[in-house]
Amino acid sequence: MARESGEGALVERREVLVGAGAVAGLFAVGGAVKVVGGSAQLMRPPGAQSESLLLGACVRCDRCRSACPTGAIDVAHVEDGLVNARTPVMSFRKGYCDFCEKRGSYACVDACPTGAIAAGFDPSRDKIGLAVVDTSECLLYRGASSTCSKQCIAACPFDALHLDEAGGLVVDKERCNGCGACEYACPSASYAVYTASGRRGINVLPESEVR
Amino acid sequence: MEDKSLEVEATAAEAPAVEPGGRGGKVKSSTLRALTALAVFVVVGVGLAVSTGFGTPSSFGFDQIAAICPLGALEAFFGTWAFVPRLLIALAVIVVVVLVFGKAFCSWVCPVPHVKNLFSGKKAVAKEEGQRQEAAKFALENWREGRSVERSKAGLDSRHAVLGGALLSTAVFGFPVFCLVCPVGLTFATFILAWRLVQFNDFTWGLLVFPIIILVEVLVLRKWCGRICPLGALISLIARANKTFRPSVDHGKCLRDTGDAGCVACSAACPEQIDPFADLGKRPLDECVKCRSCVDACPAKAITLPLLSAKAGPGGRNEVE
Repeated sequence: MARESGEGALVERREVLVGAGAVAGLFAVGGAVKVVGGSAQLMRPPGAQSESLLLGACVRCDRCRSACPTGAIDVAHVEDGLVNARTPVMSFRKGYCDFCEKRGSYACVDACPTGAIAAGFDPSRDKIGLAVVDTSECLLYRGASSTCSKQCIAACPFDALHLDEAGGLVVDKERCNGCGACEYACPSASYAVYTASGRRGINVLPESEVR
Repeated sequence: MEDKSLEVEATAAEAPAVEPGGRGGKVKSSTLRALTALAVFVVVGVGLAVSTGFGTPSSFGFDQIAAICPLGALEAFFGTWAFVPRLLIALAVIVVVVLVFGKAFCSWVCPVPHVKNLFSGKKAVAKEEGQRQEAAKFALENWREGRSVERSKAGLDSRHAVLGGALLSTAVFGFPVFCLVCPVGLTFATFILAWRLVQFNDFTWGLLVFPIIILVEVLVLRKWCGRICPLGALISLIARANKTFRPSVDHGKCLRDTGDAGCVACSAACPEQIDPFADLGKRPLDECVKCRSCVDACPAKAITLPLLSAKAGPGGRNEVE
């Protein structure tokens, strides 16, 4: 703090105390959040796969969520850890990521003012997450009479889904990039008995949770 | 509003004569400020409704063209040490805006003063009124005694320490710590969560946690704006070079020059404890948030916030030459 000797301009002691208290408060918040703030693995928008870059640069402005043309971006909540609250996460219940093919550039990348979501995501190489079949929800696995028109296979733009000889649904982990088209198309929640599990027959999960 | 001047009403048939900037305008500045702050929520709401990507005051714009909170921009830099050209461009634009409008954000856009007003009890309001009167008396005494105010040359206070702490903590922990608790960001985050609760029935504990953080900051730490807010600190650093829209006193009209030497209407109305008359208040004129409270309060209608004010001594006229 400025302490001018000539002018005799003494900084009020209260001023120093308030400043020091608030700075200490900020460090306490930062430290607490760092320790207990969140180890949750979250699926980030395409281009935000570097977690340190995303968390460091994201100012929680909500623009990417609002800009996503398909509604596939949601924001994390305090339940996902304080450090993650209000940061973007992918959610494929209201839409899936079509990598803005009609737009030519990613809307979320364009919307991000800080570079937390960076350009350069390659759908044929990089992954948002990986689709995993949930055999307790997928209609193909629910009873002998169960059939499904397999919207997921038709929906997948990357030919990453197929049936094995036994009629089970298989995900090609190389081709799948976690775009969420299959999860979005999956009819398990609407056709099957409502189980309130919050899961569908096929769900995209963070890569680290699958491998 | 209440007073109806017959002639104006008769001629201006179409709309109730609203004269936002005009002296003797019928709409009080406080009403206009509340409406402006509300308009920000409306724009954010429109963005939510039609997915335009407008964003929030933390960063708002359209597509690739967006402004950003200057503190958020600095934090993003300190959090990553990554060089992002558009961040610098946005920052430069903000600097220009602050150079022109000074700290106007604080009173016209920021939701914090309104949150504070909404949740302040009579006691707190009376206490603050008392502090403003005291500050006005302080300025008046200084003027009468011909004293100058002792202010530290650097003009730094606790807010600037918090600003430094915000950037340092971001660099240490690797994420923008202040953004997590920023009352501006959290107010809009709460608004968005409430919106989504209605739209999608999405409940999250943030709906309780965020408002609690805001209320603690604004009500428990009552001096948030003047003593803590690092965003205000950053804006005030830039606003020191602001020369436009500064309160200007017409000394041909001002009661202190023309008779009532004890009038403190303007300084007693100032929420920043500034003295518009002679800048002898507890805080310097650089901290002006352009709220126009002094303009409204002046019984002689001697104060304006002109684009450029000519320097005028007592008895002189304030006109742009």
